[in-house]
Amino acid sequence: VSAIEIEHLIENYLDHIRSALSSVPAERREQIINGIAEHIDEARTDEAIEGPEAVSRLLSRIGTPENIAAAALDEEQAGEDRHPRRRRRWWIGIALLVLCLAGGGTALAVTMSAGPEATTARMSLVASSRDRAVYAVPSASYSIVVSVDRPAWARIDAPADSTDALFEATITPQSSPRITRVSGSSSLMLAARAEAIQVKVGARTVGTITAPSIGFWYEFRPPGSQGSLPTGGQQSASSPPLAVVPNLLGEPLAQAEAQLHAVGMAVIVRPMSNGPQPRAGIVLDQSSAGGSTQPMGAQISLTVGTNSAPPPTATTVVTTQ
Amino acid sequence: MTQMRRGAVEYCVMALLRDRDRYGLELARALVDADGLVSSEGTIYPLLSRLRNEGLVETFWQESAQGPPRRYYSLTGRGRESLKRFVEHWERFRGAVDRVLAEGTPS
Repeated sequence: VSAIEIEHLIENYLDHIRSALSSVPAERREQIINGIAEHIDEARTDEAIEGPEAVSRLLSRIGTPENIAAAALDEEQAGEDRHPRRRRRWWIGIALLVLCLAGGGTALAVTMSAGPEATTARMSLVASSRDRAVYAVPSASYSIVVSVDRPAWARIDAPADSTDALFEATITPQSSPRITRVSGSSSLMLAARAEAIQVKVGARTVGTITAPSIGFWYEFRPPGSQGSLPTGGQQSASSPPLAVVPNLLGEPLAQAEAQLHAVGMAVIVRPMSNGPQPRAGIVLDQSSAGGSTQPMGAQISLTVGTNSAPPPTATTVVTTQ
Repeated sequence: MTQMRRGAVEYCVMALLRDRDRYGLELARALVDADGLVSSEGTIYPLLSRLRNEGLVETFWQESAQGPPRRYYSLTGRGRESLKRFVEHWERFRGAVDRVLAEGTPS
């Protein structure tokens, strides 16, 4: 009973913060709420906090929702002051094949190639409103590459049979979501190469899949069905395929990075200046041994020797936004 | 005074990340322990969110000996440069203010 009571306390607290942050952009709001939910987990583990009273004390130590909202508004202001021309974020609602554009369709380049002879075609706009555009695609065999010229989020809504699971994917400007038709005349499979998917229940992140492949089906109508929204569709999230980690010990950093990228893995560089015999730019250690298997998109840390005095710079490729 | 504190806290966060990566609770505790730098632990998350969006701080997940994996915050190259510039300015600024406060006139 006490465990349920505690979960309720925490959920309530996070819900209050979420409402207090309603004027903060969604992406930022989720980062803040995740940070606080993680903080609660960390404190409960580190300080062995048990029982509803102790959890209440923890929550009041973290601060009232109003307090946190005030801090968030200050930060929004600070961000605006620093970046007055801050670009608007693009949201892509893949679930409905609805491309939600913050200000128009100009930044979205869509090319389609049919078979080996690539032909370029346009998706045709069938419906649009101030912040949404729905495109229809011809029912020929093709692949569609949607390139977004700035950081974007893709949000995939929960499957109908799930109550509150939500998949979110961050797509980097470099990695374009790829929509590929695989079978049938009217279904699409969308595979997005994303930085990370956070699996959430309510506000709490219950797991993170790094650099996943998202498999996704959608039924669409051919062009000509002007003005009507596509209907139907179902979706799935698949776990990433496995790849073998190359042995990189003794390799120059650039080559090691190239080898890891070739098998779809992300690289974290950890410079080490106080090794016994630092060898500049040479991989001294790797977080996953050569020959082991890791999911594509896994982060591999490379410890790299450095002779120079400047402080180490950690280059982390993957963040969950 | 609030403005000045707010301006300084972000560099305190970056300074805490200069020598090692830390998880959220660690950062919050260090700032709360430093008298009056933050009013409550949760207020660092809006700040961390902005620093992430500005590319000064980034995060990664790491397994923990106890409990679920933790999100660690680490300083980016840009964050390091920004901190270095702040430290130089701060030292000059602090010296100037100290001198004026002590003598009542600028030196």
